Amino acid sequence: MTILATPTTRVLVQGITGRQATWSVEDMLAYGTKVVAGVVPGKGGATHCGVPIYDLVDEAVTATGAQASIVFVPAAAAAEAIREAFDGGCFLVVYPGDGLPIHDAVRLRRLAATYGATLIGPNTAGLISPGKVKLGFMPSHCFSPGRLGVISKSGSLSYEICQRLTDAGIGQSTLVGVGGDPIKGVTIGEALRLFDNDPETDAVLVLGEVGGLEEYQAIDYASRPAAKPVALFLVGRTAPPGRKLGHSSALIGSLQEGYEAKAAALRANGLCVIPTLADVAPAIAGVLPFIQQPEEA
Amino acid sequence: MAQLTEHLSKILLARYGVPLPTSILVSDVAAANAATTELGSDVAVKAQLPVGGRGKSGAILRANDPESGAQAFSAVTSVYVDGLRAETALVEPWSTIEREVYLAITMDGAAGGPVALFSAEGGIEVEYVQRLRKLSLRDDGTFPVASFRRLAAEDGLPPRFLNEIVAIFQALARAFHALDARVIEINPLAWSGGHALAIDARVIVDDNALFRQPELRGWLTVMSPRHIEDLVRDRSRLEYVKLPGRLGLISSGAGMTMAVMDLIGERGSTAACFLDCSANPTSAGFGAALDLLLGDPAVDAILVSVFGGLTRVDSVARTLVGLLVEKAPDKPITMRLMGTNADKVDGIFAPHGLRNHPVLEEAVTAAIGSMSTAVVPA
Repeated sequence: MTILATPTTRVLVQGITGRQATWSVEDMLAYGTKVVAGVVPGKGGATHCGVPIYDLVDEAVTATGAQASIVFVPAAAAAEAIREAFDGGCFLVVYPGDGLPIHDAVRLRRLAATYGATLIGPNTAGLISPGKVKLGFMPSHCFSPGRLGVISKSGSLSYEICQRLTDAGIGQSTLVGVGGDPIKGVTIGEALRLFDNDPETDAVLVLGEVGGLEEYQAIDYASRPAAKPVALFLVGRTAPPGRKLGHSSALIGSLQEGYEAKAAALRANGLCVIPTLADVAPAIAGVLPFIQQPEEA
Repeated sequence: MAQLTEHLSKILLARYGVPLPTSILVSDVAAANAATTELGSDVAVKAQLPVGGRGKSGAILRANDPESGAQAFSAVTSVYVDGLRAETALVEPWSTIEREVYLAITMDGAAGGPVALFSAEGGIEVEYVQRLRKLSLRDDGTFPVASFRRLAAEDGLPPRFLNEIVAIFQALARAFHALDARVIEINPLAWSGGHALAIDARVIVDDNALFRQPELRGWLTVMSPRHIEDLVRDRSRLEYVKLPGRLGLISSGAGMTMAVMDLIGERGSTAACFLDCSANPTSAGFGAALDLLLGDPAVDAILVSVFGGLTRVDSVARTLVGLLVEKAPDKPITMRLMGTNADKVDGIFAPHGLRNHPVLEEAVTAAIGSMSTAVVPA
């Protein structure tokens, strides 16, 4: 099982003819993701990468039964595109792009909740359930199938760490890129609850950062009875306060948002905080009940 | 996240009815002298910089006569705060403060939207040091008045202040929405002569929303001075923050860049910067990044570390080779390229005598080692 998307999820791609979208669609199709439709206003009737294009999301949904959307449109047009995906009936929308106005993110998060649907992003590599399905542009070769759930605020850091996990024989059930913006769709806490319900996930690794308070949601999760083991690796311990480091949530605005306070609070609540990059794979090997071998050699 | 100067912030807040002191913007000593006279000879002279920490840096001074008003202008426009020196100052009547509070509206991840923040005490660094009261705005963007009155009573805010604070919070909530703001802050809001006055204010706007905020975009284009970080972002789409160390770091992805900074720290050194090229992994982007660090006398050596996903690192390798041939840098450069197409990097580097360090920790160690062997230009 996977969380969020499965190999049978029918996926549409908004903005399918763009450069990044084209690369990603070919990559997702090769990975086994069921890309059934593209949506580009004005290009309905054409095909791209062998996928039929529609002018509007609801036309694509009616014609192909699409259930999820990955949105490759520029940030200025993204809010309207994501809204159209939810209004058109998609239960899952991934928005990888960065630069979404934060006031739009607030509205879209609420819209998803109104529909009981899920938004992943903005500013994320997407999600991948290794060996099964991907809705995103992460490099597939870093990942291998297994039983560790991974939640990450950062794309490139998740590649580095999943590569190390894969090299150590620790496969992943799903990587959810929650993204580095302060207001987002699925948060760390919400992703933990999704993994909690996944019988094929034994433990979860959270790749967090300084800035914001989102990592503290792991404490709420860990206090549940029968919670799965959660380990965290937090970057930015050498970050200066008051400065935004790339991600707009990576800004230490109060003492609680700094490394020392976060790590101390998480540890005090029984969570494993991994001190350095080289320790991540060994620590996970200790957290997981056993080290899984990748299912595919 | 572009912070506007106090002057620009107050222009915006005045439109929403926030009570403000009389103020005059001056850009030379003669104007400062005249403004001091006009405002009654007991004034605050405040350097106009889009940064916090002006008060404790000597960028805000009190003056009691026109001559000292002019001197204060010279003084506040010669100090550096956070690397910036002001060209203009705001002159305002000095307010005798009976009581001050802190008010702000910001975006809050835990609340999933805008929240009002307040503290019954205002002042320097209140936002960093104190626990602030937090109250979510309603989904329609309005300020929840009754909830605020309950909390304010618990915190001992005198009832005679509350009506004014409520009206100001309602104004801030309207402004926050209309301006696509990230933060609007009044610190302090002071009672002076029985009325509320926003003594200092700042508006931080969302760079990502400037496409639909043409006035703010225009202001930011001409606002001066601006942080080198903001200029680099505008010009080259690089995320840059200067740090106190001497090892320049060029990386890709915010989380990855922070991870490398931390590794440098673990090995007893300090990065000279956070510099994330992920939004512009091109010859122009890496070229601008190299120029920035090669031209910075505080940088002794450079580490380029890229883990490519969508960005194929063989193309990064070719870009870097081209740039190094063109720039012939006089500082040691250590390279670590991993991820998509990393197996092709050695073949691209080898003919140029360049070496790739595929293991991040080894690259960091090598880069730190290269600093001690760096030839200091005579």
